[in-house]
Amino acid sequence: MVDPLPLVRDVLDKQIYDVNDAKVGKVDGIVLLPRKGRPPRVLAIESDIPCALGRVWRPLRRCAERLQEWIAPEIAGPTTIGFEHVVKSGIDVQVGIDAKRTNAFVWDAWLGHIVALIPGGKGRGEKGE
Amino acid sequence: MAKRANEIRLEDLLGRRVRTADGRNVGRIEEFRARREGDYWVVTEFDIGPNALLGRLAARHLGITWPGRNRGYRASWEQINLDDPRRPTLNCPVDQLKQLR
Amino acid sequence: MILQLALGIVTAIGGFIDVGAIATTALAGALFGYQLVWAVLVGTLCVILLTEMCGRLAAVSHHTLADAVRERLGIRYFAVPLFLEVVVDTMVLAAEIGGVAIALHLATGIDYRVFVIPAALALWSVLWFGNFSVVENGVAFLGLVAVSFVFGMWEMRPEWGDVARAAIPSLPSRDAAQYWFLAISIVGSVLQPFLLNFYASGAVEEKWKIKDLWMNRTVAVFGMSFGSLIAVGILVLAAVVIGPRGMHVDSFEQAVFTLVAPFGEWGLSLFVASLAVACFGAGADLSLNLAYLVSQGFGWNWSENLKPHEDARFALVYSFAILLAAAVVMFADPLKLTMVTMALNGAVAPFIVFPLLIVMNDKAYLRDQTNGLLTNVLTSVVILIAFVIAIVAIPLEVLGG
Repeated sequence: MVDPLPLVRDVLDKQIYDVNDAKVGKVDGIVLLPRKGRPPRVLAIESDIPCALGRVWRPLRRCAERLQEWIAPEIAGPTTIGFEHVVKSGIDVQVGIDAKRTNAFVWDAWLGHIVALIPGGKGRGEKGE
Repeated sequence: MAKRANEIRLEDLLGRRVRTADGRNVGRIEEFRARREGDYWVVTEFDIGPNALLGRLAARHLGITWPGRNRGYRASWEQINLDDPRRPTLNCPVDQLKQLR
Repeated sequence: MILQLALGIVTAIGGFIDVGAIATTALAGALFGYQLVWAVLVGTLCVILLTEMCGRLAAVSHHTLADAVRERLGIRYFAVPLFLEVVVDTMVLAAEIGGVAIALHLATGIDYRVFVIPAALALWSVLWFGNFSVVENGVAFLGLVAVSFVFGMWEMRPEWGDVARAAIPSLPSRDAAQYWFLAISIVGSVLQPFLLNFYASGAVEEKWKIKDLWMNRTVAVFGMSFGSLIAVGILVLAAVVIGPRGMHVDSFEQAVFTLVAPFGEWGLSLFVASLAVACFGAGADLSLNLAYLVSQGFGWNWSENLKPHEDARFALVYSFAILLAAAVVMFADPLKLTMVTMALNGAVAPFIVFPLLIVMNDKAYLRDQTNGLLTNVLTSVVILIAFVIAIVAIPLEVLGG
């Protein structure tokens, strides 16, 4: 029988990589579904700054959520990946999907549009040339 | 993924005190052990107590263990009641829990 | 490979010498002669041990110290060193930008505040438009001008026997609070927490692997040792040149004499160049480290080799940090800021070194390259030193700063 997976030691707080080896974020939260008469199901992993900050101090979660909603309400929200997509875990968590199909990169993309307006933000050729 | 009403967060349970039915403290939840069941993963066991924390921190590589006889427990899923996630309780007597070494 | 090694050593020298090392050693030499050489050596031994471990962690696991601390100890613990390091690193960054501005003031006579914004802008531009090699290797080679302190020390022919004897710790004969405050500040200026994660991040940027472990050890030992030699050079020069004249190093203007005495007119140019480049390089390292810390802590995409729009959050963190630091130094005296932050470095160190010990014994990260018994014992001693510094730093700052 395969050893059970320790979720706190091997999943929570770990770096998430997708099928393209892109950094998706850290596992800031794990969602469980308690079920009557059956073991709780592990539903999903979440990557979300408010979730991470809320684990440090609960009021920070609400502050961070409000700040995100104020800055960009159309993109505020956690990145949630179904646990069935978790392929491997240990030092890192590998998920078997392309994270571009999720909202994992929306903040980088949104901020990237602003950064691209600053001279040098988009760059030409290799960086540093 | 739409949020279901009765979803709970693992990190909200992590560190919560588990008590017996009559209110005695058993220890804090420090680890959740999951197994694959078909397409899904399910939590099959909960580690409770200080040795579970040390194991999670890999501090045992440094030879650090909790002193004393009571180093923690491993409870299977049916031995813990999560109806109120803020106050998890045991469904069985403490002596039915597996002791962690 | 030799070139890579040389670059690594030069970069490590550059990371060692900054406004803190220059200010604390110059002040120590002026007030207590050679007596605090041992503090430089203690800090150097500590930083060699710790940077070697951070480089090993990065080469084997391809994870940095910030990654490993978050992943192994969780966000609740990680938040503490993250917060402390962000605050202290921003203050040190302000001091480094101030150091560049002071250097330009020494060269031109114009108030240093005029140069704060241009210095900050130049720093930001190098990071925004350059890549990791340009930032590190380019600045590091320019920073070799600081070797003039070693040549200056040689030129002034100090009593080498007395210098050697000062390698052994001694008690002060006067001004004990100030003596120990300076000792802690020197150790804090050498054992700067930002160096550890920055070194590991650089190793990941340079894609170090297990086969590079020998280079990691060589760079850590020789790079930090040569940097230490420069710091000792500054201290000895201050002891020989400034101390006997009864001068105090209240400002960088007095520290200039450390190179004017051996080199005459050229001394001012050499001091200005050394201060400017050392501070600029350290400023670049600090800015990047702030971005590394936050990005690695939250799992964002990060690399100085990516264009800013490709890792926008990373680029915006260092941009904002430089802006904030420039604002701080407009209102704070750079030398006073330097002395305060070097002591604070010491206070923050235990929160970063302690988790390093845990991580370095984790086979999941280090495989068969975990710490041996001797390394664990030595690291525990460093943690003890760091805790003592953390406890006494603030009181000593009040009493002796």
